[in-house]
Amino acid sequence: MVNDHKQTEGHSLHISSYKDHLITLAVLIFLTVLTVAVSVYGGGMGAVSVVLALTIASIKALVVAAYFMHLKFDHKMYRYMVMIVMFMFVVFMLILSLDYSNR
Amino acid sequence: MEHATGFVLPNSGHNRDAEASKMGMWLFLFTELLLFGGLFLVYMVYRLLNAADFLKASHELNIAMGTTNTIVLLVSSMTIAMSITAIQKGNKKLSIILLISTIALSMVFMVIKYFEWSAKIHHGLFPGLEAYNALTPGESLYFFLYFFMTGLHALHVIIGAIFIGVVIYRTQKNRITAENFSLTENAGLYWHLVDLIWIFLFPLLYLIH
Repeated sequence: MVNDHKQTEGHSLHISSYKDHLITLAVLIFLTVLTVAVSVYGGGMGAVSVVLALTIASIKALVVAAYFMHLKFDHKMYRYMVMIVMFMFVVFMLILSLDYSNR
Repeated sequence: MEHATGFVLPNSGHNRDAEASKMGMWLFLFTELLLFGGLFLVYMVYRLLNAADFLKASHELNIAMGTTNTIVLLVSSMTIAMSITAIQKGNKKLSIILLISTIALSMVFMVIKYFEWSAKIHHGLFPGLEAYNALTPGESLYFFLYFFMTGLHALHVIIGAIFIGVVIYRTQKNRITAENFSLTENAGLYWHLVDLIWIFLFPLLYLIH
């Protein structure tokens, strides 16, 4: 895959190819089918299936953020901002669940 | 007193800043995380406290419709990402076609959502209706969150579609070009956020059994 690089004012340009976007979509649809299959045919796994569903959802979110939202190719600042915000959200979630599971 | 003449900004008429524009969009997306993140936390806590009821209530949802909608949104995310590629390469016509496809897919999503909601409302599961009032507290919490979260998400789908409509108009008028496509990128970011939220709503509401 060859990517064009050029510089115009304010845009540091990496142009994702149509083919890259198609591949990204194929990966996302595969993960969707996988998570539905695990849920429908993998009954009785209890907590494991919830963890698996959320793990697959997180991978899908990462793929969307990195390729469709262009984080992989943009200035690193955006990546750090997203990482800080997500880190804070996860900490919030953990503390809240600790709180409620110990009442 | 100085007169207001004779002073011209060094770069007047030339002060676009694509990076600042994109950063502003990202900051806005973080406020959306506060909105939906709060709801996800509410869901998490009530799910912890009412695991069995949530499980039982989630069986009312139609996985086939949910899966179709997930794929519809993923495809629409690809079409808007491709429309950015098209405008960057100077292909105005293709960019507009891809943006129109994105709006069309958002309508498909809303129609499927309409049928899902109508079925639930028909069964009286909307907050306030008879079947809803007869539910156990845990189940009614599940349906309340179902309607609230998918409803708020659907509102974002509508706003996103309007945003994309504005982008189409501006592209048509040549105000968005291969040198100035920040608005297309920002509409893309917003649309991908709508997709991201659905990526988590789908397993949490439909696939928890």
